[in-house]
Amino acid sequence: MANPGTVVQRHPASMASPDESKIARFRRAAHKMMVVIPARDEAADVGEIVRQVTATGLPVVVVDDHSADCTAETARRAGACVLQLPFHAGAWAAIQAGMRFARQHGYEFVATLDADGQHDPADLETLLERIDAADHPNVVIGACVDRANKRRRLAWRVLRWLSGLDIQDLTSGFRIYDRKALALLAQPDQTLLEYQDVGVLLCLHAHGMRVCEVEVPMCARAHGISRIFRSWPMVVYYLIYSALIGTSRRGRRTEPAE
Amino acid sequence: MQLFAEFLALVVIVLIVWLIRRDRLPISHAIWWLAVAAIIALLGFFPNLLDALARAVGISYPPSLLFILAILTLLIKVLLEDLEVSTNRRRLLRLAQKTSILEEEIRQLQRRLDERDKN
Repeated sequence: MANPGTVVQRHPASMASPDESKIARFRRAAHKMMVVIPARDEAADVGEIVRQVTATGLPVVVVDDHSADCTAETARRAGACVLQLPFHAGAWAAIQAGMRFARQHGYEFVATLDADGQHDPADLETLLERIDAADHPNVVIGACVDRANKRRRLAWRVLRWLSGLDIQDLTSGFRIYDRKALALLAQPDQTLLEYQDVGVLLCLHAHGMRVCEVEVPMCARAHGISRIFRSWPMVVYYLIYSALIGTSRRGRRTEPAE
Repeated sequence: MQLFAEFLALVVIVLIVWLIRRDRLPISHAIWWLAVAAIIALLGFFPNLLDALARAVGISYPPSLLFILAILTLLIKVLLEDLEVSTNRRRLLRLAQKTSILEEEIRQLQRRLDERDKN
């Protein structure tokens, strides 16, 4: 982009690239899709990931969850809009801030991906294809089932059983939400959800949103380790949490809204 | 009449009124605590009330009814506080999101102004 500062512009400047068809596709999507990247202390990776996404022509907003390092500055220099939360508010609050920002600026889709380089922005293509499909799902999840270690796989199996959700990768942060899903998730009622669990998915499910998955390959994290499922106590916490949320909301399901 | 209960009720009432006068406690909360003080005072004046009440609900040891009521009162109060805390947390998060959005928008407007001034 000619001016990386004004990322909110809807019509990215033309770019020369060897992969024209892909870029053209992205550019069409860019009219209505914004990429939201929640980041906390990810200065090491966030610049690169922002550059990768902006190279596809999609506008990026990085939501800095009160990082102690220079995440915000790095992202800004790489050409992203940056929302800086005034205190540590959690990944879901950060993503919701991005969603509200995107909605306010007229975007119809929001893609989320992790700031640590786990997800290849090029795979957004796969997700976009799926959300454009004839059955119009409201949310598409980029699932990387392979990454699961023993702990995760066990936890996920229990979560699936408890929640009744038929989704393989329950905690993937690589998703695309459509206008209807955004309208639902941006509401104040959904502010206290926690992201790294099934709360968001259950909420979507309860409101009749269609959620589907596509499998994407996943890069290993460039730096650091994942915060979730880092220890058995965390796993137990999420199991209890999800068991509560899963069972308490079971009865609230409604038929899919057309 | 039990002097200690009356003394306790008096202390609570004085404390609540003092907090209201200092604008530390909103009236809505004060009503709850004044009601608690009133019940303490009532039971202090008429200790037999508790015995009668215990007999009526089939509790053979009346003081245990007192404990049940006290714990229940606190339980309800804490639960209400929890609800209020989460409402406030929700509002706080919404505000934090809003300020971050507005901040970014101001930054973009500022940048646009700077660019216009340059040209």
